[in-house]
Amino acid sequence: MKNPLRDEASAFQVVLLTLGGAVLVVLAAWINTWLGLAVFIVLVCAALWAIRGGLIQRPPQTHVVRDEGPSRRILVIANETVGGDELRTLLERKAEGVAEEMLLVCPALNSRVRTWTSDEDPARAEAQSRLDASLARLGEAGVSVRGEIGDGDPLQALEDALREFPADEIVVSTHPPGRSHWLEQGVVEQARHRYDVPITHVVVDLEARQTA
Amino acid sequence: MAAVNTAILVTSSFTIHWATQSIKRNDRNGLRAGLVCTILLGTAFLGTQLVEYAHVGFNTSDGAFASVFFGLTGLHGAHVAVGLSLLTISAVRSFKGHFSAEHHHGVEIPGIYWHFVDVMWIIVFFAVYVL
Repeated sequence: MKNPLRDEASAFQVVLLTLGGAVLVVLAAWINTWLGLAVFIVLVCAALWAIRGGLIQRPPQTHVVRDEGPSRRILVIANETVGGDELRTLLERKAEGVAEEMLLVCPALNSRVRTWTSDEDPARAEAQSRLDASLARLGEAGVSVRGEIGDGDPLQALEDALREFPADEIVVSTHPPGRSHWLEQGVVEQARHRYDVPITHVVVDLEARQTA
Repeated sequence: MAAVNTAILVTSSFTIHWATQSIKRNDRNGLRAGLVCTILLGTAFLGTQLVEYAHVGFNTSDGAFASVFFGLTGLHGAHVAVGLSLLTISAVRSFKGHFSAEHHHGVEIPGIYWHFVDVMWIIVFFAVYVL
């Protein structure tokens, strides 16, 4: 799904398109009321189709403007796998011997139905508890990392985080293929296409750890 | 009067777009001018709205259309007021030398909000005044 209000320029295009669409509806309604209704329905359907993806499946690549500070900035996005050993080991390895700033983003996963019909407080609370536990474990291992709750859509969460935290590297943690919704949705591929920073994908197999 | 107001608000979308594009090119004067123009246009919109309320000839309790009219336009006006507050903060910051080509979220996000308010007005205008 494309966010039509992704940035100011996109929002400005929405203004122009809405204005043009409204004029079309009025002109059609002036000729015939039912024609006006038909044009309105067609335009709404076209808008929904465009938002859902339309002809262009992928938004253009975003250049991440990085600060030229002394430390290396690593942005980590993980949800259920946030406490996984594989992720923790990777982060510990990346933290060795370099001055780094690490931001761990935990998306507040919510069903689409619940997003539209209720609030996201329970999803945020669950994400917060996972995040707190993971931050504590990483802190014990000597990794300096801060965390925040992100949007339920992992790509939107990445985009939001990059606005305030221009990272040198992104780490995406998922379940193994076949069990990961994010892999099913192509989150890693889309992130690689969208951002011009190195992206490391780490697979965390929580089930294997539980059965072991 | 509503058509004039629509023209004012649509024009303000162009000016905020100008402001944002200016700061992306590191043009601070363009940013300041764009923000000030947008604030003036937004204030003119609210002023015109108030004048319209004073001369519209009906009140909130005068039937369903009156309720819908004041409900929709009033709620929209409240959003415009919020947008103006955000833009004023951005303008003050721009005159203090804040924002650069790399860091201008303080302009971009109020800009997105302002465009959203503009889109909503176009819908309200055509629903209430035209159709």
